[in-house]
Amino acid sequence: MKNFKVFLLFLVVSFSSSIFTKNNSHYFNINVIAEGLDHPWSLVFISDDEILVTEKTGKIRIIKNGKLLDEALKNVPNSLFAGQGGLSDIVLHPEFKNNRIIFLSFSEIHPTNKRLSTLRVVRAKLNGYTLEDVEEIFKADPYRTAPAHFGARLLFLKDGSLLITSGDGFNFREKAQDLDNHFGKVIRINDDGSIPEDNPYTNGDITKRSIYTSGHRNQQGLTLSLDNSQVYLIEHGPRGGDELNILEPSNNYGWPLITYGIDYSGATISPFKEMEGLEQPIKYWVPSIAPSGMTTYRGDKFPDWKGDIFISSMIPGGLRRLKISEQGVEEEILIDNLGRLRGVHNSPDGNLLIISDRRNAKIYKISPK
Amino acid sequence: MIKRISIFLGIAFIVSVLIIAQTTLSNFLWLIQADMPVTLSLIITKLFEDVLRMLVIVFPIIFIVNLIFFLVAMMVSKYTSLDKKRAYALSGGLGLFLISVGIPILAGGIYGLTGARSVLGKITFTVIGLFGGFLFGRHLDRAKLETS
Repeated sequence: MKNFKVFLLFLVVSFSSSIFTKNNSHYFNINVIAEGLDHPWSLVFISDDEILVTEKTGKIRIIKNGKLLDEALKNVPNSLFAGQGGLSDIVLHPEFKNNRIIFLSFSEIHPTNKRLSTLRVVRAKLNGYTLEDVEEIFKADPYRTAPAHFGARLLFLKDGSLLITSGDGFNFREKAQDLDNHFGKVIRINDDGSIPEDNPYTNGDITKRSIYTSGHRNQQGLTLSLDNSQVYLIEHGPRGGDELNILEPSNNYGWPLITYGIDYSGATISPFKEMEGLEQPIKYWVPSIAPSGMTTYRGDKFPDWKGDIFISSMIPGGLRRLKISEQGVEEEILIDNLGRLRGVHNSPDGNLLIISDRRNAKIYKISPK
Repeated sequence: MIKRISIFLGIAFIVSVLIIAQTTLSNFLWLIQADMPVTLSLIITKLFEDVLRMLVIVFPIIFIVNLIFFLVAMMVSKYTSLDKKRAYALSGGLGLFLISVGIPILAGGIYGLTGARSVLGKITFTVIGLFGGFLFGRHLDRAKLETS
């Protein structure tokens, strides 16, 4: 009888915790602010009431005063929409209010060999809803044979330099350990594409000198901590082994020498999970959550969330809040019933915006109840 | 007939295990080249684990490809003077070669079986296919001798 009571208690507790994770929206509202987007990837506010949204299919859509406009941004460079490739991230220059310069990352096909593609970053001036003076500032070297694992996330550091994530190209994972290519690297360049003099590798060709960190797989989230002192990076693992890392220049994050995951086929990629000289994540996920975006909450509407890290994920799809402290990383699943989420962003009014994935996608606003 | 089916399934199993071993060993070979502390017992343990995990994916692929290509070999050897061992070996090799190049084509350039990424990997896949086909053809030759 006692065992039966314990069993009943176990069932009740299990059921309660399941309800908690699935409907953890008791202290916020979720409202759709735009819908009908085609594979949206990222967004940026160019004013308090104007949002630019990149679509992987190649357009930059405009949301003005809460309405998705029919017209798209003009003169956007052509990108390759295939596999995981397409128009990807968009960020503003730190001095955007004065110079109106924006930065775009996207995958691009080789000019003569259509089987090859690479990651490209351009800067351009925004004049009304038209891009002008489009100028390439980075192209990942070399081209890859599959349109996959581009990384493509952009982040400006406090010193004005730009971080670019460049994924391992799927078929070239071992090259993430070599410093003669951009596979599985985080790149650091100046806003004009030149290499900062204080980059960790000062010798070698331009490829090596542009490298900031190595040993990554497919990094799709980058954010600064609230005090801007640390850079957090999130990357997809294979089957298991998604990682949250703290970036430090010249660090090697180990892929594929060490990993918490296995290959999609079930094969062992490496039996090693840690090794001297290779950095450990501050958190990892097994099974995978497929992290697609990340931001640090900087608003005032949710005082308890200030400084916390928010991660959008695609498997099974959801939004997670991470509180990072010296004691470790606490994780709370806030949303897991909206399907695959592609990104999470701060809104100037202190709310959070999340982007759903694929066709007929939506942008949701998370605001306090 | 039952014996022939059993032999066919057995050969699909052997070929699958060899393909899995090639994938695992190619991964470990790179780790050794990268000075990771790989030991023989570690390789054996992981190989065993990989076989258990990967058979569910690899075996159906090998089964279907061998079935198609061995049926073609059966027709070819029936209507030509090509002996069974050669016919089945060639079709087995061709089947595995097509797996090594066909999966990436179907998957948008992505190599699901990473052991097939290099030229050497594709050659190894082909040789494993040749071996499987040869074994099956030899069995058929023997069975024919026994019945005659």
